[in-house]
Amino acid sequence: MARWNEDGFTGLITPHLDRMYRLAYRLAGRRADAEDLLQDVLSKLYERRAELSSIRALAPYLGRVLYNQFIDDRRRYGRLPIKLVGSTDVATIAEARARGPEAQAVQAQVDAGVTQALARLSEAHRVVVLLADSEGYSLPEIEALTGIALGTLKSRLHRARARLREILGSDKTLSANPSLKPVEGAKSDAL
Amino acid sequence: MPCNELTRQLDDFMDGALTALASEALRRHVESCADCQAVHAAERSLRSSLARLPVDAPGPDYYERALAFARRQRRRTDPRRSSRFGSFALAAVATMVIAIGLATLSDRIAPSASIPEVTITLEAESSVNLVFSTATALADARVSLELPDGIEVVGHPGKRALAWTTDLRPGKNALRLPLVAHIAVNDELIARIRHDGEESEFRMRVRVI
Repeated sequence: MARWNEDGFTGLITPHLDRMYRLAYRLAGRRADAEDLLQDVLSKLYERRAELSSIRALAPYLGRVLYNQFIDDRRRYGRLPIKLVGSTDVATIAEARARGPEAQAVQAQVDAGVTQALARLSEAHRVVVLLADSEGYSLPEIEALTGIALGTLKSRLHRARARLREILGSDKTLSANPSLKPVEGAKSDAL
Repeated sequence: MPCNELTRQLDDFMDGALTALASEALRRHVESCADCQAVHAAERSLRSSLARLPVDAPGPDYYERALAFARRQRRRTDPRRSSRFGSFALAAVATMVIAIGLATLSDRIAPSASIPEVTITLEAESSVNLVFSTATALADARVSLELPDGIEVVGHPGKRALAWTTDLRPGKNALRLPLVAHIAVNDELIARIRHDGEESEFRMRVRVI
């Protein structure tokens, strides 16, 4: 670690890595893509390491660089996370709480349903909901991160939440568990 | 107060963005209205679920490796055809057989050839082989697939994404995929191999006739 600190880069960046990774995960939607995204950002930041120490509010700056990288990647490659289908009615959680012992299991099912419903939102809607409601960013913080005007963000968040409720309220038919299973018909054999 | 006031102001109510007076009026209404109580409870549940959504932790030593890689590599040129840390290269393409060469993970990135293509027949089961070759054994490699719309792996109806763990032996390893297409598409199937925190991605165009 000492070797890496020779130019101060590691010392400056390390305190922010967890937050940057969380943001990358929320944007990219899965670990491998989050790791890739953060890797790209770190490589980019390393090129600018001389400037970093003079930046007063480093955390928002790093978040913005990461967000911009995410948007650049999306524009260049246009690859969206895997789309899932299905959801669970969120209203069931209140009923489950009233029932008691099974509430936790039902809550887990509802959480999985919310995950699936999020996957059905547009990327712009999903990102703003995740930043606001999962990561707890305020709208001014999201504005600083994304460069999107506050009024636009507010209405986007409103529409995103409404769409999420609509999905959760209308589709109660699918399994809440989106876990992936091995392909039974696909085997790995040495040739 | 009409019930649609809660619907209209739900976000601001939940976010604490209403005036104290407006918030108190809405709260009193919710307490006295069973329908609005249900709406409020559902929204609280949704917010609670969103706040609990998990974040998968990065791989072991990821930060250290990523920082070290940033120093060595700087920026990549094409992330969708290359691995951050490893090196997977497209080796050869034959009819219905995609051969993908996996170099040692410490090698530098090798550019891939153009995207291979297979043609399958609508509603007929077709076997597509992906052949991976690796110089060393890779235990517990995670293989994942993203399928185009309308194409399924036989036995997994409706699944767009499949993943499993397998051991890759030194040399060639065949992955047989029984595919069936329900709509005529011309789209990409994406295969990813992940091992020890490193991942590479391969694309194969599937044309349905």
